[in-house]
Amino acid sequence: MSAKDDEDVELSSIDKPSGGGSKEDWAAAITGLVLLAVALLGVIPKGWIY
Amino acid sequence: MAIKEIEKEEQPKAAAASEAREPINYGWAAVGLIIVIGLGFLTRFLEKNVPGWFEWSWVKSIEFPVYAIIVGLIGGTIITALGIREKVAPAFQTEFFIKTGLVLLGASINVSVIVSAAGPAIIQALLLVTGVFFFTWWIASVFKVDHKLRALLATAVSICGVSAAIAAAGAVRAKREQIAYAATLVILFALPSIFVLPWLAGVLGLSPEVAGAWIGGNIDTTAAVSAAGAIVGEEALQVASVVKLTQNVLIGVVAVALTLYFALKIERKDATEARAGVGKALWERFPKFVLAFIVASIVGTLYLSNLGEGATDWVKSVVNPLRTYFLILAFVSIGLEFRVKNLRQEGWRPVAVFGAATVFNILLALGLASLLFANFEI
Repeated sequence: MSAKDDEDVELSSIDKPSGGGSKEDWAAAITGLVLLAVALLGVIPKGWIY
Repeated sequence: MAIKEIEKEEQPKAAAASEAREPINYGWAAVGLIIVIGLGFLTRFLEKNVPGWFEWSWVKSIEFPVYAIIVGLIGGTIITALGIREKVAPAFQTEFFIKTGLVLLGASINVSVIVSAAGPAIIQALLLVTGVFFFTWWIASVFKVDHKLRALLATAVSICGVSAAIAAAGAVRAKREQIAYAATLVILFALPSIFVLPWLAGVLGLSPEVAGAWIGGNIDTTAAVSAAGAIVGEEALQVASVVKLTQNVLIGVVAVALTLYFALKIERKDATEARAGVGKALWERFPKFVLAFIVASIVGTLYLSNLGEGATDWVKSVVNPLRTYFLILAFVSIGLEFRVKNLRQEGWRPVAVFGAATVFNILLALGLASLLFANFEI
């Protein structure tokens, strides 16, 4: 989409064009907790992360 | 008209807008992800090796956010020159990376710190968000900035930058170009703040806790708050994160208030109908990753208190580096996403408004942090 096209597009009150929406929130929440569980359960060995 | 109905009414328009956007090319997105991760490894490499290459003491004190942002900015310049920026940009998921990093950070923060910091953080957030929002709204009206852009700028500078601007944009039905503009301004002002505020905190002799509260209350984007907090140190990072997340929670309240304001005052809708759906809208705007952050803190606290020294070592050597990687990916993405071309469209007035609001924010946040976190210790 060109910058010129952008000018005429109004957002709706539910439109979240990038980044700040619920999807990112839930994805980050789940990913973070899963990684935390994996790390605390000892699946990732010490010193494995550079 | 009820919020829900406004949303329904606008769905065809939003759908049309989505259709107008170019579909994501997953091949190029994968290339973008490789670029982000590659630059993340480069950042880690530089952080570990550059101090050994030079004798100067100031080089040894450079923290990883500095390398990450510089690497991201250089990477962004290169991909722009190659003409592939738009194709690989879907991989620059700053919001996802920073939120995942913050959830992991939660495991290192004792839940008692969150509980004890929550009181002053909430008071600071309420005073700061209200004060800065209305100051920005007022000064933008003095400069005759468009109503919708005014709402975006006031929300962005008072709450949490790009996410807040996006939430406000939906509430007031702003144009896409106005979001791009507000987002660019946020990053333009946040980038120098990452380096200047930690330096100023040192010059002013602020304790890590007060410095963290100042940074968390003042810098607009959550990623930049984490970067500046990490430069000051671990304690400052923890307090800055709790303060920032408290402000993030207020996004929903402000977005709903703006929706009601625009429905009632600007569009002259019926008052009773406009209030319908407020509860649902508040939940929709609530940043859910904050719940995961609190869960991680509870899990981390129980884990450390039950398993002792070995557990502390495990968190330090596995969970913290994992968290650092996500923060690095977020900071690299900040640099990659930055571009100034959006600023040319709206002229100098919104820049002046944002600048004045930022100075006001810095001073008010400094006063509140010094007052509310003076005796706070981790």
